[in-house]
Amino acid sequence: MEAPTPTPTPTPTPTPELPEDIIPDILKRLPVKSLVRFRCVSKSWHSLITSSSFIHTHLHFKKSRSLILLARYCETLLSIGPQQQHQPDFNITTTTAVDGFQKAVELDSFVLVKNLPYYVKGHCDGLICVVIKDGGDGALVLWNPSIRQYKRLPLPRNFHSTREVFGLGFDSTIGDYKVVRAPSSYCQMKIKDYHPQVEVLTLGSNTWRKIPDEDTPPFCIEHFFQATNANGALYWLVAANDDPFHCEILRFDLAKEKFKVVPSPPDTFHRNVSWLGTLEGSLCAIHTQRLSYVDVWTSKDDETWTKLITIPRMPGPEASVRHSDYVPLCFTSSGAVVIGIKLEGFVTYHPIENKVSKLAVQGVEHWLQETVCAESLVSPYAADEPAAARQHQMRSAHTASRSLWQLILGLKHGVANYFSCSSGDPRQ
Amino acid sequence: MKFCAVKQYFDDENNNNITSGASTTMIPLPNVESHPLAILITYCKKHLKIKANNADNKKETEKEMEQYEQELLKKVMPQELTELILAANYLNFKEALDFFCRAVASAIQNKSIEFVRKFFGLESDFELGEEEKLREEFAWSFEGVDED
Repeated sequence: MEAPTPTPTPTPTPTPELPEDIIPDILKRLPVKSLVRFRCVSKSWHSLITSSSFIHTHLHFKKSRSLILLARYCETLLSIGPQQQHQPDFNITTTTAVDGFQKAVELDSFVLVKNLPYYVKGHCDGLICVVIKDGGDGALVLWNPSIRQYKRLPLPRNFHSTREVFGLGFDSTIGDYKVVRAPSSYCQMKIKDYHPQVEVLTLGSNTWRKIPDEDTPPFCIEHFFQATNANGALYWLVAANDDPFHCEILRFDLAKEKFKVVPSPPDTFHRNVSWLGTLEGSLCAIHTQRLSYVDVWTSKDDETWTKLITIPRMPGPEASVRHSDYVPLCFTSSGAVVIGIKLEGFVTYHPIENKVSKLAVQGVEHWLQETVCAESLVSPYAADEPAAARQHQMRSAHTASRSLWQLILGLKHGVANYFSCSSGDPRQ
Repeated sequence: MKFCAVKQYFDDENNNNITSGASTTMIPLPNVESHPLAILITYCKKHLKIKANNADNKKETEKEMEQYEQELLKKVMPQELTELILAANYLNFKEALDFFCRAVASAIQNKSIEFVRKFFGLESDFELGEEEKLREEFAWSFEGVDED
């Protein structure tokens, strides 16, 4: 009798390989944390994810995420962002109106700022420019919180640390990021022999270059203002020369490296512009907030201003007391705008429902500066900087004098908190 | 026409002046399996139907399409997504390609390296110690990853 022929096991169909050009189409939709991890998948994926073209595609993909960073001066920064819930059942639509802005996360990997005075001076494409008063000469740092990488930049001459004014932007004509040092009004007032000059550093060159004297603007900027980056330029609010109570908008063209004054949006009450920022990638401005509503103006061409949105202020307990300013931060995918109110918290405003509602954010009590930045893979290092240099940067963060200074300030804040007294004017 | 590759075929046919009974023309699609093709045809028909029903209302179209897509994904195995992407890519069917890419991204977002390699049929080609170094440098990105 013949043995029964065993049924042949069917050969498993191999997974069809996707063409190379489809992979970026899939990966560009992923959050940065996944992409950083997927660098380890294979050499070609590592190459792809770190390539400047993919980084650019990912950054500009229309559904790219925003983070709200809260700088707390002597405390670590907090991050509030769309923490996408992982949906195992393929649920790709987000249905919550506030898309994950309910919890703040402490960014304790950025150790350089721990217990030290610092300011965020500007940001661009997910890179933040921070100045830190560290007990030594001070530090000027570029940091990407999404990929957790930072780089200390060389200091310009006569560096006055947190009292300096900087901005960060991208010059598309040379395809590189520029850090711009602008005249500081604090230094102008308080420092003898202060010569306001404007200097530029490109990431690729890593050296400071002065712009011609004739291009130096006849203005100085307050050191606690962040530079606003939009329309290929940096913007700051400055006091007019002929009238110190009147504000102007100063523009620095990143490609041409020239300054000019931009007309402010109109206002029936002739108020000054008190806030500059960006929403949906465009330059926005708000006048001094005294009314029961806040008009947010926007301009794409530095000439014509249109009203983007009018936000009604929530009625407060005492109408006569001037409430803190509303600072519009970003739009959620449902079309609501998230608004920060210092000393109070957050609210959202939905224009269609015309409703302002409180937004409870877990883990936030107070903050000094708010920065809305993109979640991106952009590295603070120039493409050709070797990995060894980066490791050295991270190690040199822990010098003896820095550690001692951080310890002293840590104790000082601990004591101040114990006695519940303020530790002095943060705007030093 | 959604299936641009098929449209191209018809355009080429017209250019060659071949008279053909349109309803009985056989179009060769050597790179597409029948199963994913069936899904794509259903997806296409549904998309056109929803669009016709909500002629002016773009938002309604989007909402209904999203609901249909959720339902569709429940019936499709993750492994089939690769085939569907290949088919949509070959047929030059943009909306479906976009949708399936989104679905794959969602499927792999919180997964481990090993899962991703298996999904795409890839193997590690790093030098000895290179992968370990990378994993150590970016250890934080491995936190909270789904178990395989």
